[in-house]
Amino acid sequence: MTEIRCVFTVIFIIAGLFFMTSSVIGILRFPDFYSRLHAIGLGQSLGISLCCIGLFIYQGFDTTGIKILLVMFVSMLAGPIGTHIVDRVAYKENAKNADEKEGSGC
Amino acid sequence: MLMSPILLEGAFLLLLIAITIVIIFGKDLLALTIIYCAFSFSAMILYILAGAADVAFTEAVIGVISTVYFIIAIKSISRRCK
Amino acid sequence: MNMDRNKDRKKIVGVFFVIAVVIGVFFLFPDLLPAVDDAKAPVHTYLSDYYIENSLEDTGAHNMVTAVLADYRGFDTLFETCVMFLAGVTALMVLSTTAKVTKPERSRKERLQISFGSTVLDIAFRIIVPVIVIYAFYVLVHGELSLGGGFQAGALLAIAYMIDRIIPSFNSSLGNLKEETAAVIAGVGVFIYILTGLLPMAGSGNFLEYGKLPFGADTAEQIRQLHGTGILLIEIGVVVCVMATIINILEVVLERTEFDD
Repeated sequence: MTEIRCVFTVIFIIAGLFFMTSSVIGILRFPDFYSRLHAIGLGQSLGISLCCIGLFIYQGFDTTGIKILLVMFVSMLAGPIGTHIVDRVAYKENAKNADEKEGSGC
Repeated sequence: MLMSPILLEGAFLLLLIAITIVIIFGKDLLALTIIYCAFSFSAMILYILAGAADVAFTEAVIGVISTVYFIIAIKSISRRCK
Repeated sequence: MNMDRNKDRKKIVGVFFVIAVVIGVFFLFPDLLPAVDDAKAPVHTYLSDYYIENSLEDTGAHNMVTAVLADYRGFDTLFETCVMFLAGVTALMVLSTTAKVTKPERSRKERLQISFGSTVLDIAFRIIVPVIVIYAFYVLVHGELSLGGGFQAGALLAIAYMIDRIIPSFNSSLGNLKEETAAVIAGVGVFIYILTGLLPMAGSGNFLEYGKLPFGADTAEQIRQLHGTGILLIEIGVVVCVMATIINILEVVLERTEFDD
């Protein structure tokens, strides 16, 4: 377990946590439903993927490492799908934009 | 001392109590079901910290299923409490 | 508005009172419950040492939790599965007086053509649902080696069914199990469990004694593999029962709510 491996692991995990935290701050501060959805969908998928890459670098290339890569693959697949579904439902139920009257959406 | 296991477990237990208080005093039922999912998630973390990995895995799966049940059940009744 | 505030204030006082009482009891009497890693607690001195030392030789399962749940305490797991089956039947009985929501019927050919509603979802779910099913079977078969077992696998299969049932519009899902059929399948799951229990009696053993399954075993190594076979058969029964119960409760509630699409 060399030092370079630990340094890279820490760098990737901190980057992943930064993106996740910024997406959560985005939920609290954005004025409108669609912007908040955009913040979650992008931020969380990227954050989980970076954390998984960091753990894969720490673990090495054996069975557990390949399982970590599978987790990253499935999570990168499932994030945009979930965002797409919520978006379609909100479009059908007419969630309002921020520049129309009657307040913001949800 | 900053990252001792007791402190971590204490933090998650406080989170559990806070989520319960929010659920009791909340008014919008659909948002509360999502917070119920967060309750299930923090219970799962507590099971991992206690060392029971099988129970944590089961709790993760059952949390999803019970949240779906609650959302379907709320569809028939009104969305505001009281 | 005044009534609301009075009720809220009473609720706040009540909640904090309960929390204060519970925390106070556990701080004032610190010897009420034994510590978690106390070596002299009654939990640790009676049976745990036997399980920790002998479970690998007796059952051949590396995962001690599965060995205790499905082999040493198989009888308790049988009644746990029975309770799940009864929960499904009770949900069926309690909600049977509410009227079902009538929906327009569609033929099977029409149902096969209507899909999830957008191109992205079509392709995405044709990738994700097989991954979930394969993962469920992996968790079932590896119950003895790593985390897993019957309950988790059954819940995962039910999630795969739920995805197909809820996300498309109400009448155009492929999988369409009636609630009575799902209850019957749960009963079949419990029946598989009991059958695995009755088989050793044919080989002159007790109920649920895997060492005497009539599959022909002489040496100690083969008896250990018989234990593994018994655990796998039990887990198959549990998987069928859990999946059918979750689908049962889902169908019972879905048929009686109105969706506006």
